Amino acid sequence: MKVGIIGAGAIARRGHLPVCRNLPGIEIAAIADVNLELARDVAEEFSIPKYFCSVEDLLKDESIDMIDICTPTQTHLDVVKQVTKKGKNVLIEKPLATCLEEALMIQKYVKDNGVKLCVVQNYRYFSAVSQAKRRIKEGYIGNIVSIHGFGITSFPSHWTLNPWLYHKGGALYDFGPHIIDMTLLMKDFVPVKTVFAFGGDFSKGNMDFINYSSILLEFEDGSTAVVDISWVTGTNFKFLLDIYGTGGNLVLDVRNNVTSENHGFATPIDDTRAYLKKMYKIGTGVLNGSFFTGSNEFYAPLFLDFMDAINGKKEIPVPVEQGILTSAVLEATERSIREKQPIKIKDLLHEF
Amino acid sequence: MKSIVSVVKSNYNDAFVNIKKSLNLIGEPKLNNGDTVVIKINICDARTAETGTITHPLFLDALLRYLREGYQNLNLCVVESDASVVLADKFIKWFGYLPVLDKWNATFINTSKSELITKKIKGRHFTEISIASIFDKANLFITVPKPKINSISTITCCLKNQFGCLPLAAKNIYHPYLDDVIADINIAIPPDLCIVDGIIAMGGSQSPAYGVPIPLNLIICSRDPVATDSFVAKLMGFNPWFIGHIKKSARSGIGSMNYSLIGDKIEKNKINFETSKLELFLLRLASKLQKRTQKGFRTSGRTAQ
Repeated sequence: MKVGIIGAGAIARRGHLPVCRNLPGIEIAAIADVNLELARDVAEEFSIPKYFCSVEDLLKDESIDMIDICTPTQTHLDVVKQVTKKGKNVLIEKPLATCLEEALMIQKYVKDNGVKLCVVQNYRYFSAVSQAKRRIKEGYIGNIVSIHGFGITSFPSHWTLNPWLYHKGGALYDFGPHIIDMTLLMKDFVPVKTVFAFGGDFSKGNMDFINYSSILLEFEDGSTAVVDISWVTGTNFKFLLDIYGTGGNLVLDVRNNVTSENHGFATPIDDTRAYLKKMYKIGTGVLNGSFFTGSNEFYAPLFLDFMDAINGKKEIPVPVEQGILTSAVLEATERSIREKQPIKIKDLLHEF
Repeated sequence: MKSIVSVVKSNYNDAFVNIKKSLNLIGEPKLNNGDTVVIKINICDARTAETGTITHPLFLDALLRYLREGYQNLNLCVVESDASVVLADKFIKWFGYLPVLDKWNATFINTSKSELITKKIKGRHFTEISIASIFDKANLFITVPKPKINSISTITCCLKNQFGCLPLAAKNIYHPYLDDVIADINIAIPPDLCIVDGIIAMGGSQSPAYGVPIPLNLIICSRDPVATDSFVAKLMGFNPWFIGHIKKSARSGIGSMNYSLIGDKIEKNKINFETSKLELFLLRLASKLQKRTQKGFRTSGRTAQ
């Protein structure tokens, strides 16, 4: 399968390309970036035969089967429009769009042109995540009553200097898509009924974008979730879900790729076991290097699963509909912070 | 000859009084009507002042107040440059410096975006260095660093703060020759005055950006950056003779590693920078491996930008 990469920035260079260029059955055929020099450099670095300075030029290559969109979020809608029009399947970096309206338009382009789209949610591929999903599915936790989630990071200036993120998106659209997606995934995408969020600009107007928030979600089944997202704490970084069910408690520490469970009384033996398990997991991760590559290594299985989905062998790993639900929660959060009141997701979706 | 280093206990609320007190001990600067004072603060990452990563806006407020109230008609310029993870113009706004600058009628200059001049030097790494022209116009250049542990240079304080004056954003290309480059930039623009915001310092092995905020509660002043850094290194538990950039700067004639301490008495045994030397060693080892991969790389014409 021939893949065209759009965007030669950090996420392509440091995330997608290093792991995806050697995948069986995948050929990175071309790369495009508005900065031709950058496109050329990346093409040379990863031995990509063709490079272009526009999406149009790349799309002239009829042999390309799939497009991997690694451009900043604010360009997604326009790029998806062009790419889907040419009938190409799309892998797209998170967040899907800058707002719910754009996300719904992306869905329309995908449907109208009969192509497949997958949102890059690589954290889903951590082994601890699938283990947590399995334990929940098998009933070890019972019915989920509440989830306490933490998506605490520092400013992502080591990773991106995307002006939209530092002007509008803020912490909400940086790590928000990951922690919200993970929360919805643990709830098996039970619809969210209401979102009530607090937060905003902790610097009291200096930054002028949302840099912290506590989001309260009410699901249709009556369960709840509280999700903390922040750029301004001294911590970097915590990606953790503390899941409480009628049958017990499961802690999913995504960053350290480890889970622990607690049923009944938490004894020192339980604490020691959880601690040793975590130490073992982190220790082996450090030794085999996976601790340092973090989520990057999980682009590969996502790529492969999407290839299979394109070939009709599997479901799309993260379909556009799930990206829209995440976008809806993020938009509701933004609106709730602004209007200081709960937002009904159904009302929000009916607006568009 | 011994340089004088003054130490005064302080918190941010009484920083103004204590900056004055600390400067009094070493002799307050002599400035004339209309003189230009350039103040190099330290913003090395997108971290709030409470983490100890960046110069606290309250400290800058106190310093600007001291200069504005103590002298007449000074042209006060606060400078910082872009770096690989720093957008100086944005961070000045985000982290609360703009109201302070407005309050004391000071201007901010992003030295990555301002007019440059070239200085010829007899350096260890460079023969000439491009720097912002404002440094040439300064009647007084004050460096206002944060005392922090640094996995590459062991400590960062006065001398390394000038590394942030290099206009090039991708300064990390100089990391393989950091000690030499720090000495060179201090030859080109030696600070006249060092005023260290040591009220919240940073320890821990992930310093200088992600370490542990250390409530050191000290203001340290000197006219000699080498002496100041030697003292700070000792305070952190390191021998300055084993810190490359301090030793090389001393040998380049920037200052002296011998100093006399005046001011408040410090209980050194109560100061803990929460740094594991083993962790620092391992991080330095990793850095050396990185250096090896960059071996052979040298800036063309040995000119810094």
